[in-house]
Amino acid sequence: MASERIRHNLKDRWLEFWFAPAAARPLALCRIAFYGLLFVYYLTYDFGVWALAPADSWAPTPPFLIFDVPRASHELLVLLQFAWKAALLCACLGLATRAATAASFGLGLYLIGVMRSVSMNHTDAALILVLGIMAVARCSDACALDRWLIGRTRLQASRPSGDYRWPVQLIQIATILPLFVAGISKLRHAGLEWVFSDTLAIVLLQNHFRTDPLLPWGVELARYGWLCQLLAAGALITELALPLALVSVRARLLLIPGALGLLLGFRLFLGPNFAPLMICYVFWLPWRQITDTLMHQIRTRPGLAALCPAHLRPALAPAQSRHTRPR
Amino acid sequence: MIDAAIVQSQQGTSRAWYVTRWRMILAHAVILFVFSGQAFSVLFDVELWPFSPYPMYSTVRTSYSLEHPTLYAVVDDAAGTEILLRDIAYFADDRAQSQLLLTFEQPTADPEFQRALAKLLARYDAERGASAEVGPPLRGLRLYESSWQLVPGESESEATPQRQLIVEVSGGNHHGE
Repeated sequence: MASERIRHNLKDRWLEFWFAPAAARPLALCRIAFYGLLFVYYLTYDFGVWALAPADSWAPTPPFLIFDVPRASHELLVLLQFAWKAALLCACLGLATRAATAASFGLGLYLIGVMRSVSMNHTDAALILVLGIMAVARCSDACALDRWLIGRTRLQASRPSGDYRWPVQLIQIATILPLFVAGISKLRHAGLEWVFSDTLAIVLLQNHFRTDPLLPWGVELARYGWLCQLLAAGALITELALPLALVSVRARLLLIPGALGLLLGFRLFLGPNFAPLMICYVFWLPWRQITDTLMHQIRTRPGLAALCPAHLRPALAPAQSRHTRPR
Repeated sequence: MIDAAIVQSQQGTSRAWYVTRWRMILAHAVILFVFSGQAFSVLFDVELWPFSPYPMYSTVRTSYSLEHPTLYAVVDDAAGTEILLRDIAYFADDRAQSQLLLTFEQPTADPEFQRALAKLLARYDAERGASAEVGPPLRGLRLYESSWQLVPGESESEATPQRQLIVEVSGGNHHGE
């Protein structure tokens, strides 16, 4: 009987974590920010150059190996990247959203997979997971051109549902996994010696000559061994503590900016560019509070409210009056 | 459809989730895929892109030396000046080009590799023809195995690497050394 109760309790907690009903709008705003930033980031990126890479550098990643996918020619890569960027823009706008998110995932998997089959690094692995999750998420149920084009009243939020929560939860996990697992790798391969040795100082020096950090301060930082050890300890603690951000709001306020600081620090002092992963952190933004604050500002300033078209004004009513959270 | 799902999801739990049974199965399949892929990669310490054990910078380093193949451009001037290829605007400013350069920095003199280097140079020349801002005219490319003795506080201008030529490619025709 007790074990039955524990089982039910665990099941409830599991379902509560993933499927507690949430509003459609935060996921939709994540969609807009995520695909919009990706579009801007990759707009001028030329995937075509990867056709120039030496043939002996081609080491297919597992999806390419399993399905025996070849590297496309320069012309085909250019064509595919054009389609991918168009799909990212459509997904951002909410235009043919289902097809756009699916194409963003499929084409992104191929184009980024080609890059990683030629030059393996870990800066955009999580991006593929996020694109995959968004491809199956119901992210077009609010703030999407689709809904406006088919003529439904688009400003009444859909009924809160677990469908709007699990993608955000899973993506948040996918975004912290790279750093958390990197922390585990450090403990596994080096233990605490990774902190209490010259490792970070040497990495800063080596990367200054080998890669292309934005700031040339690595060689100066390396002069202060104690500072490098302090930075190494801070990085390792942040990486290993990141899962706490999933369950504690206070920890989140400290750890998520800390994680972003780490990723920015990598680019500034070590070279690797984790911008694609940083873009995925939009799923950590408190969208509900942001929209509530924005709505409050519009409601309390008649000038701003008057600028809104008449059919949008009902949406400015407080959220509580439009739907109540089901229990 | 939603109402039927509520009944389904309420079985054995204390509240409704407003998710259809099909969507619930799909969500669990995706969650399982992400967790199992990542767990497998970590437990067996293998790269299964997009899953990874993320081993970057995870080993202890003790040596203050660095050996690394480095690409230099030979400028088409009287002195045949050598500059780091990644210092040329075309390669420095473009993310794809600068990432691509890393794939060329490998210690090999394979003929295929030389052909790829020649293509890179030809593409640069074509781009330069279109815009003078791309960079200076180049006579060729040289790949060196460079080694540095690293001293904290000493930048590129102060640290001179020992170099050994691996491959040289000239514009138009190319040959290995």
